[in-house]
Amino acid sequence: MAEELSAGGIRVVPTALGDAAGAAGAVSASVRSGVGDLLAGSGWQAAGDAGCADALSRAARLLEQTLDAAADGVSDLGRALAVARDAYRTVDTVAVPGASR
Amino acid sequence: MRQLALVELRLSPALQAADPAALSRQGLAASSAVGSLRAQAGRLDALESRLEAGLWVSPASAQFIRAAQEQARRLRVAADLCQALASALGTLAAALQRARADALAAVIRAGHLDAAALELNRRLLAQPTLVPQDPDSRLLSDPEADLINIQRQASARALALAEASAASAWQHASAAFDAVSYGTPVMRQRMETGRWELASSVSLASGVLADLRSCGVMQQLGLPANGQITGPDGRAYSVVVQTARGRDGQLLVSTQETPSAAGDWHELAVRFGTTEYGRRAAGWEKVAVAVGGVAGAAYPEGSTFAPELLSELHIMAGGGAYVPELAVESGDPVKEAPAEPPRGQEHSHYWTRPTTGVAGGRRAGAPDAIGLIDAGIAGVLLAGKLDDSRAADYRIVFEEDSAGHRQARLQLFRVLVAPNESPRTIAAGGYVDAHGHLAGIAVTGESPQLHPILTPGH
Repeated sequence: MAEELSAGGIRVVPTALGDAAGAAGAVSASVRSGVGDLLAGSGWQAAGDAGCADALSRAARLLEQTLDAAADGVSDLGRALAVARDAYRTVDTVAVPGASR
Repeated sequence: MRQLALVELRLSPALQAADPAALSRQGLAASSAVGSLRAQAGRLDALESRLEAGLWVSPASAQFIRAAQEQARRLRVAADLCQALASALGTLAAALQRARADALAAVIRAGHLDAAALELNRRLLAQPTLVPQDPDSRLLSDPEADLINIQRQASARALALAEASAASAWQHASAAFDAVSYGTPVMRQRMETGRWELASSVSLASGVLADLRSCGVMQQLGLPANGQITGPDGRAYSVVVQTARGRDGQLLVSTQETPSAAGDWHELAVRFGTTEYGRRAAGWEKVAVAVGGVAGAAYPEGSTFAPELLSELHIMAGGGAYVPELAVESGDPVKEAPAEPPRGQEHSHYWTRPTTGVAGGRRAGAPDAIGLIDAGIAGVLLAGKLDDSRAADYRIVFEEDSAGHRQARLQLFRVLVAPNESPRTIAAGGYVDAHGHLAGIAVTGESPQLHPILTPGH
């Protein structure tokens, strides 16, 4: 993120948004691979008992879907960020005393 | 002495296939995911708190903050689910590790004892060739064979205990995995708002119910104990009326939930909705009421059920429901419609039977004509309202215990309106009647003037 907002010499927005957007994608990928190991290669069969393995498989599959939804949330976040940055560049910003672009 | 048979103890295929080390690794992976997800959510929260200082204010940035909050919420939900999965995997891995070790030890001991039995059998076969002075002949005694048998029985018991321990661990883990599944947004949506109709999902189970505790309560209430509901998830749940004990020890039908009543039941989902239950008015009844109105039969002011107010009903999380204060219309002839006759223990003041017959005395022509028209309209409208008492809101709690038993606690709520009075709620415990239809048993002991001391009833 190129632009910066300073208030009292503290850089606020660009760094925070950049951290948030980047971290969200990276963590989701590692977490999803962890849960994916349960499903890939039938890791759930390690439970031994068929009924328990089914329950584990079902939980892992639904958890994976939950993480997929979280990944979609990252996209939503990115889109909202793009709109907000665009608004920030134009006229949609309320000036804050002491803040300067 | 007879030869000893070999026992050849083996691990069950399930315990043989179990891989506690792999489960433990998966648990650790899920556990590490928890930290990552929560840290990420924390970063989003930090971002939000920095933006809230007013340095960057606009509708667009507010939208971004909302997106960040939603993302943080999703991450926390996923983190909690990963935590539950990690915990269940870790517990299962540890339990299976112990069970496998115990079972393997028993199998190895049994193998050694089988070897001893083989040796004993071999010497037994050779016995005729031994002379009495041979020291080996003294070994071929019944006490030695008995000792081998006793030790082998002990090994078999140890193996059975280990297998039972593994089975229990699998049961608990299955329930914990189910809790993870039902905690996911996808399953929550399916259970709480997915397409499903309560009244058409009830039936009587042909087999024996899994949970005898539920049967006891239902039998005490004189209700069928084998009622079941096929939930939105397609699984069968035993229907249980929620109960409590009054201070005199009497079993009460209640809507009030006490924390200790939960026992080891885990709530999978709670669903609210509207349904119909009870006897449907027959066609001839509707015709009779309509014709009665035209004939001049008078229907007094009285109480009636008001299905149109069901959407206003506030059902509370801890049980019970109420109708918020609403402006009550008066003088509406439709309000005079009677409810259906009382069923079971339902109190008689909840309904008013229509009076029949034509008032005596001289009649004035014009006013009577107006009155007859009015009564006729009221009768027709009334005929259409006879089934009002069938409509009800419901709250259903789907639960599972650590042993994998499933139950559904069902409460039904109707709204009663009396002229010049605030609407009130009539609560009932839901159950499946002997014909396999949804039915309600009136709640007892919840009078505001007499609060019973409630203790868990199921």
